[in-house]
Formats: sequence, structure tokens, C-alpha cells
Amino acid sequence: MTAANQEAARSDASVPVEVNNEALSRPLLVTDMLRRLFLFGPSEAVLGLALAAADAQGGSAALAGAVAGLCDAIDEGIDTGENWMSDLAVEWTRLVVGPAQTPVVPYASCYLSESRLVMTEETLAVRRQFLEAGLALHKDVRLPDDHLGIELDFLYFLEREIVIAEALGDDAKVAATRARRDEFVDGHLVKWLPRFVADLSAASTFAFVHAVSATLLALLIAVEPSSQG
Amino acid sequence: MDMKVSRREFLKTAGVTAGVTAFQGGGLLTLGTLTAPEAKAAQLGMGTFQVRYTADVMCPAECGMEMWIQNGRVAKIYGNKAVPMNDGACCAKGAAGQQLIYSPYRLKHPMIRVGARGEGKFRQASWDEAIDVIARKLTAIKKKHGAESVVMDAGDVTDRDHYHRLFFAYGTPNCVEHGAICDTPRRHGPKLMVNGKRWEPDLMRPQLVRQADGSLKQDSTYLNKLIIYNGWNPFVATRIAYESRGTVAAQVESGCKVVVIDPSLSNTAAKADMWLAPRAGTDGDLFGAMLRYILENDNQSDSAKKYINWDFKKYSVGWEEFEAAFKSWWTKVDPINGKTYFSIDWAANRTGLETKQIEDLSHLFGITKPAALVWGMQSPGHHYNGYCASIIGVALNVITGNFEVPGGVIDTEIVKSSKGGSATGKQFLKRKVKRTIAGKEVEGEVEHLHKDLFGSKFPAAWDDVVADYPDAIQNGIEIRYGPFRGHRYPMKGYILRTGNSVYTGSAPYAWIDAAKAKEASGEYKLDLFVVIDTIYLESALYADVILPEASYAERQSVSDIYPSQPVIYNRDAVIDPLFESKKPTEIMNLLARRLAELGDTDLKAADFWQKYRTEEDFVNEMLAPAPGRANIGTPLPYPKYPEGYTIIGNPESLERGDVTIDDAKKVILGKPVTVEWLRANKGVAVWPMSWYRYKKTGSDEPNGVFPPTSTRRIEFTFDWKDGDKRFGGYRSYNEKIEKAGGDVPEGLKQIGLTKYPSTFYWFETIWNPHTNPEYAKYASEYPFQLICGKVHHAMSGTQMVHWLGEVKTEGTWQPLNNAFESVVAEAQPIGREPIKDAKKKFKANSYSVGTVWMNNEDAKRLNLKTGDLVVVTNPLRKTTRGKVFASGGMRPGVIKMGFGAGGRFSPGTGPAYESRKYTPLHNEMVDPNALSPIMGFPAFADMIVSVKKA
Repeated sequence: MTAANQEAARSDASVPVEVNNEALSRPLLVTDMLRRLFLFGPSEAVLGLALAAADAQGGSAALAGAVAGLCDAIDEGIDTGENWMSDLAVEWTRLVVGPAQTPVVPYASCYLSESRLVMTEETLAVRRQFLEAGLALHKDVRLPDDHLGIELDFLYFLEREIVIAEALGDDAKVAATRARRDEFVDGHLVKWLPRFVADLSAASTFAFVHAVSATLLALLIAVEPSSQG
Repeated sequence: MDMKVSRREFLKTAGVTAGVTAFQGGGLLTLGTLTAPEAKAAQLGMGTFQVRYTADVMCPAECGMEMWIQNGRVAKIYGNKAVPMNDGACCAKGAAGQQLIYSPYRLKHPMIRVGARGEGKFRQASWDEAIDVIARKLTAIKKKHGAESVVMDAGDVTDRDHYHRLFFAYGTPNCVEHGAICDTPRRHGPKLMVNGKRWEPDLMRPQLVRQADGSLKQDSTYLNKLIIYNGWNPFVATRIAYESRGTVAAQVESGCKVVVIDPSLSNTAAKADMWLAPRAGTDGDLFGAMLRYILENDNQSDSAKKYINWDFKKYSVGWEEFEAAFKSWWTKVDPINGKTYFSIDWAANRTGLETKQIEDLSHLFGITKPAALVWGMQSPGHHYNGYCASIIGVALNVITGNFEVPGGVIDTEIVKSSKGGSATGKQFLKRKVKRTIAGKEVEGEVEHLHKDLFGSKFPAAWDDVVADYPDAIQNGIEIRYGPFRGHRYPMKGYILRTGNSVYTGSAPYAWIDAAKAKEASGEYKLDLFVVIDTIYLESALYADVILPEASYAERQSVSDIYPSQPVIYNRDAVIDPLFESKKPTEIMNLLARRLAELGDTDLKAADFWQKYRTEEDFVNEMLAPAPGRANIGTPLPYPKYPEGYTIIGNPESLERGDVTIDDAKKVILGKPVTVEWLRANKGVAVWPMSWYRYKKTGSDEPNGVFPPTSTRRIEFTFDWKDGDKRFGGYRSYNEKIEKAGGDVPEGLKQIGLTKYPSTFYWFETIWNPHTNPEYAKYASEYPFQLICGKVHHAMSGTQMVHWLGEVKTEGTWQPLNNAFESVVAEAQPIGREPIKDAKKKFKANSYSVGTVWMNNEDAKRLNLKTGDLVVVTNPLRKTTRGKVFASGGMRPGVIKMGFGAGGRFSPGTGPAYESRKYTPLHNEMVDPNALSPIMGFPAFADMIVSVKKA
């Protein structure tokens, strides 16, 4: 997704409670960072969110460790000079965008369907989950529903809903949203994301990419129902 | 504070701001919230099917398709029974459409090159940025070198009109399409003699035919008695789907005999009644011998030898001149074999066939009626002298009375529906422009700047010359004819849309050298190279900008593939474009608008973005002239309307009588064919068939309408005067030469001519030691002739489909892979568990790849066997590698490779890329300077090679 789409970032429901950087939990910042990375590529906002997540609270120790590793990779990149960002953009393009056949494909259906195509029944299953949550892709977003960036966008939405409901003391909504998140994570994400993470890590020599892989996996573990007690 | 800390803090602040803003603002980037009723309605709507009609582009046949759309995606693909081209059939390629549409490896986003050309390094860009980069370059090129310095190559035939319109309006006449590298020599005879293009057997069934009682009937009767396919392989590589089933149906239902002339045992040859395997490049020799035999042995009073139907003279001009010119060769002695031209002995010596085979074939063709002699791209189409064969082929069909008769041969180009109309933008070619030549300002029209039609090399190249773009990039273009004579310009911009000229346009090394060539300043000579496509092919490796085009199911246009009567069908956009791909209409408008914003006054809102607000607007304009053919022939398509008048309108209104008749213009105007009308009628419009379209109904008089030549008759002479008037297919080119003081085009110089011939002519092919003395010296060192042929399910658009790749086809596509490992989906027979990956070892010789197909006795002599890796070398010292497939189904001394099957060096071609090191790249063997003299076509099938074990 490009800047044009980025400009179309949605603001359907403004937050009813005050937040600042201290209020944002590490899992939330990491989810925000990762969805942007897979939708828009490694922008300054993505790297900044990673650095901000290092200072945030919440989530597992494993996630904190992964984020620390990610920050190390960013620091290392900054050390290598001003070309690092553009080199990283080219590498990211090679990995997940194209134009050649990419080493990894960020679509759930390519891992879950025998056809290995996009827009399969598995994609529609994800669309159904979105609809059940009262969401649908905006008309000008023409990526398959199960693109990793969109799935992380959905996860971010659910995490944010939980934060807000908790702040408002709406226990029923907290429970319902957690249940929806658990269903999405346990019933869908865990079935393909670990394999994607392994493929992504194996496909690149960039420390940043390895750290992103580790962070994705740590986030998945952090939000898995079994790890939340 | 050091720089690193500063940079880190800057990023972190940006991250915190972004995080807070996102959280405060609602958080979602791609999803939006629905109301509860909206969400419920959307859930309930999931699962319903819509049936949509469209056309295929998985191969060039463009069959009519019926697609079932569910939840906004293509769920099922069937053939469309209402389209007579395929009559409801859907082959494995068509059924594999989802593999392309939903490939995760499609081009998804605009890309801008960041490495050197060829490195394959790109970054993702927005459409705005990509269009801006292109438009700025185009603006600069136009200002500095003139718009003619930009070439628009719509490599694929479908949807070219949007792009041609844009670039015609921009001001370049140099807009070409696929035909330029397909088979122009093959089409030459039909174009020259009837102003047509492709002669095909009358095999399209069912046909809508007017009955005596005035009703219309779908007639499926096959009438053919003999079909001779010369270098034409409709069972594997056709663009004409009805020939595949029709050939077999005619054999079964009308006892039609089928003869295939081909050095290789093609699938069509395997089903033929007779297979003749001549020496490669001797098609014209065989045709010439057939014509001589028929002329020498025709006996009108002997029913067993009544070969010629002399009625053809009523509908033609110039036979006497043609015959005299042809016969003048009968006394000439061929220096290579000492025999007189076109004698049976001469042809036997040159073709390697037996004299009796040639006599029998000539007699069979002369005596069997109706018959069709057709020739394909793998024979005259790909040889340097294919023009001669094509011209003789037309003559053979015409004089034997097989042209336009039921079960005979049809020129599909001049009977199919008109399309395009003013949407093509050809009106922009008439704009006045000025150029300064030798210090003097000269005015002419945009079309007078055409690289070929007014260029120094091939001014008769009415289908353009693509193969010399490398030379144009390296050395520039010279205008030699017309008002801009003496004008020179460089080729600075190349916009390539769904073509792959670097790989297919002739020798790839010449293209790559040109794409990478630099000026002394270090800038690329070719200042702008843009690729617009759905998949990433070899040419895109060298592009500066790549634009992702909507797949064939996501964009709209019309199809009309070589029917025997007017038929046109909607290639509808059945789903929305996926990823960031855009439709041609959108791309056209975006670029036009940006050029206008940058100050180009030739691009106007009223011609583009205000005129075509949707792709339907554009297609409706393309459909406006349909069918645009005259009410002629037997049975008369519309007996209630005046004969000879042009018919325009949809079949329903014409049948109903809802028309206006303009007697002054001789036009019958019904309600137009529109997208809406097509969608309501299973996507297709079919108008009635008729035959004998060159004569009046119920009379033997020519009707003065058909064929659409300068005399409205079949023309055996190509440039002649009748009083003050001058006629013929070569007339205009010779006039250009005369106006230029006799300055001879470079192409003609190659064959020792000073002007285009006025009737029959002959010259030898090149790189053939058996027929051209100039090359005899190479015969011992390079003992094999190299030919090529297509396997349509193993081409660019289908190679990514694994199961198609696994289907072996003829000798050029065989299971000769090296062993390899690949991660595949592990079968999940039941349940909803996720599919697991399995690393699977594929054994050698289990997957089809491109091969070096040769005769088994030749292989034995070279101590080779099937599967051996060999190096193939040509006299230009170029080499390619591949594995041998040895069989008896190949003429000794000939080697065949699949065109586009091997040596794929784009990492976008899937399995074919993996096997590139041991599969042959045929075009690497092509002589890039061997462009045939009349139309500049690459001599793809004229080369000799040696073969050695690697």
C-alpha cells in the first residue's frame, strides 16, 4: 500500500478517553508498527514506533526482548549510514512486494489454501470475521482481506477496543472483544503466521528483517489466549 | 548531541506521534466500520453467484467465457456457448484463469527502478509518483527530440486502443502491436492481393445462416473436403479455437482429408491423413511447384484434371501479368541444383520431398473442392522470403476456386466486425506538425514521421517493425520519404504494454545491449523505458517504471478473433482490479491528464478524462461501427435491405427492422451495439454468414464492394496504371520512392530491387545452405536447420500454472527437468485444518521443460540420447544450452525449439525460470540483423546450427 492509501487512514471512531504515549501499551505500539510495515513498508513512522515501543509497558518479557532486538537492528542500521533506509526499502520490496516472485507472500490464503493463491475461501473466512466485528475493507483498499497488514489492522482495532473499554469500565465489552480477538488469533493467525515468520527470516540477511520476524512471533505469542491466562 | 542520537530521537518522536494520532483518530488504516444492518446485509450477501460473460486472454485464442462471480471473486470458469469461436468449450488454459488472476506473484504496485537496468532492483511507488515520473520524461523528450522519439508498443493485441489513442494524441505515429513480431510475411499475400490478413479454413461452426424462408438458422454442417495446413498447428498453437475442434469434426462429418506440411510431427500432423516433412524454409518452393503443376496440368475437359476454376478472372485483375512473371522463372536455372525453378524436380531437390509426393499433393489440391490451403507463422511467417510463399498461396486458393466458397478458405480480416472507430485516436495522426530539416522548416502530418512507413528501411511495413528497435535506440531513425525526408530522430522513449520484446523481439542480447547503452554523458540512450503488464517478464528487468495493469478479468474491451463472419464479444471486467492494478482506461486518463498539467496542449480533457469517465464509455465508442460490413454474398445476410450497403447496428435491431437507411452513403443504420446490449445478450453479437462475398447475389458479376482493394477485385498485380489512375497494393510505396528521386529503401537493396515489384516476384531465404548459394559454405560446420514453434500452454502467461507446465506437448516440451526440491502443499483430505507445507523432492524427468528436439538418427550419429545436455551454436558464435529430445517425429537435419519455452531469465516466470540454465533460448540463435526485406520481420526460423554434447 502506498502513501495515497495511507492518506486514507481511517478515523471512523475517535477515542473517548485521553491517551498519551505513556498510555499506549507495548503490544499496541508493536501491532501498530507491524501493520504499517506490512502495508506501507519501512517508513520513518514504522522505525519510530519500534523505538517508542521499547520504552512502553505491557506485554510479555519475550516481546520486550524482541522489541529491544528490533531497536538494536535499527541502531545498527543508522550506524551504517544514510543509505540504510533506502537499502532497507529495496530489500523489503524484494521480500514482500515484487516485482519478481517474492520469497515470502504476506497472505494467509497462500499458507492455508492448497491452491496457494490469493482470494480463496480462507480469505473469505477472514472477511466474515471482519463483518462479524462490524468492519469491512474500505472500497479503495483492493488488497485481499487476509493480507498480513490488514489482519494486523484488525488486531490493532480489537486491542484498542479493549483498552478503551477497560478505561470506560465496560467489562462486558472487554470480555466480548477479548473473545473476538482470541477467536481471530487462535482460530486463524496461529495457523499461518509462525510459518510466514520462519520464511521471512530465512529469506533475508538484514538484521532488521530477522528482528521483525522475531517481533511478529513474540507478538503472536503475547496475544495468544493461552499466554494470557 | 551526536548525529545518531539526533536521528534516533527524531524517529522515536515520529513514532510516538504516529502512535498517539492513530489511537486517538480511530485507529484503522484499511478497515472501516459498518452499521449493524450494513454488516448483516453484507454477511447475508456472501455466497450468492452472478454469471458474467467475458473473453479469455490466457492464450491468444480469446475464447468466449462464462465466469461465475461469488463474493467479488471469480469462483468458476466455463466456456460461453453463445460465442461461436469456442462454442462453449473451455480448455485447461482457460480453466486455469484463477491461477493468473489470483497469483500472489502478479505485479501489484507501481515500481520505480533503483538499480541499473537489468539488475531487477525496484522500489514501490505511488501511482501519482510513477505517472509523474513518466509524464515528466515524456514532456522533456517531446520538447528536445519531438514526440516521434517515443514508441508505444502494445505487445499484446487486446486493449491496445487506449494506449495507442494516448500516444497518437501525444504526437507520435510510432504505435505498434503484437502483429509486428508475429507473422507479417505470412499475411503479406492476403494484404497485398485482397487487402486482408489471415486466410483460414471455413470451419467456424455453428454458423448463423439466413434460410430461404427468411429465418435464421444455426448451421453446424461441415462442408470441407481438404485442408492443407502448412506450418500451422491448430491443435497446439492456434489463435483460432474453432480450428481445433473443426478440423476433427470435418474429418468425421464431411470426410475431409487433412494434410500437414511441417518438418516436425506436430499434434496436428499426428491426426492428419498425410504428413509431409519438407526441409525448413522451403514452403515457397513447394507452393511454387504446386502452382506450376496446376498450370501445366490443368485440363478443363478432363474432370480428373479440372484444377482451375477460371471464373476467378471475373473477380480479379492482373492474372496475365502474374502468370507471365511466374512462368518467366520456368526457364531460369537454379544455380544450386541446376534445375529450372518451380519444376517438380527442382522442388523435390530443395524441399527434400519425393517428386511423387509433390505431384500427388498438387493434384489432390487441384482436384478436391472445396479445399483450403493455409499457412502459418511457423512456415512463411518466420522465413525471410515468406512473402513469396504467401503470395503464391493466395494465388493457389483463388485460381482453384476455393476463396470464399462454403468449406473453402476465408480471409477473416475482411469479414470480421469492425471495431475501434474513433476511439483508436487515428484522427490525431492528421495533425499538422513542423520540423526543421537542414535549417528549413517543413510542415507535414504526424503520420509522416512514422519510423517505418516513411523511414529509410521498410516503408511497406504496414504492420510496423519492432525487431529493429535495438538499432533505432543505438543509431537513431532516418525519415527518407514524404514531407519530412531527411529528418533524423533518436528513439528515446519506449512504452511497452503486455509485450516482452526483450525476450521475443529478435535476439535478446541485441535488445539488452540497446536497453543498457549509454551516451557519452553516462545517461541511457533510451531515456525512458516503461513496462505496463500484469506479470513480470524479461523486458521489465530493464524498465525504469513498471505499472501494474488490471488482469484480463478486471478490464474491459472487445474480442473478435478471426471469425468467418462478423462476430464481436465483450471482454467484460467481471471483477474489480486487485491490488493497485489499474484498467487501461484509467492509465490512459491519468497519463493524459498529467501531461496536460505539465503543459502539453495536445492532451485535452475533452479527448480523455472528460470523454471517457468509465471504461464502458471507451468500449461503447469502439463498438459504434460494428459490424461495419456490407450486405453482400450468398445467402444475402439481410435480404430485406439493399445489397451492397454497409450494415451498422446490433443484430436485434437489424432483424426487427428498427433501422434508418441512408441511400446517399449506402448505410443501413440500426441501434448500436453497446456494452449494455452485449451484457443483455450473453456478451456476444453475431451477424449472418454469407459466402461468395465478391459477387452479386444470384449473379456472376462482381459486386464492386469486396474485397476492399483499390479495384474492389482480387489483385494479381501490385502497381499499375489505367489511364491516369494508379492501382495496387505497392502503388503508394513506389510513389514514395519516386517522389524521393528513386532513393531505394534499405530492405529492397538487400534483395537487389529498386522498387516494389508490380506482380509475382521471388527471392531466396537466408541462412539456408540448401537453397541459397551464399550460405552453402556453412553447411558442413552447421549441419542443422533451426526452427521454432509455440506451445501455448507453456508461454509467459501460463508458465506459472504448474499443472499446465506438467503437461508434455510434442517434442519441444518434455519431462526432462533436473531433480529439484520444492515446498508444496501437503494434501488435506478432510477437515478444516490448515494446509501444511511439505518439502518434496521432484525426480529428474518428471516435469516438462523446453527441449532441443531433433531426429533420433541424427542424435545417434552424434552419440546423443534424449536427456543429454547439448550446446547449440550458430555461425554468429552465439550459443544456447538445452536437453535433447530425440524422436522419429522430426525431419533429419532439423532442430526445433519452443518459442518462449526455455531460457526464461525473468524471476517472474516461475518454474521456467528455475530451469533456465538447461533449457534453450531459441531467440538467442536468431540473427538480429536478418530482418526480412519487405516488412522488416525477424527471420525467426532461418538459422543453421551445430550441436555438441555439453
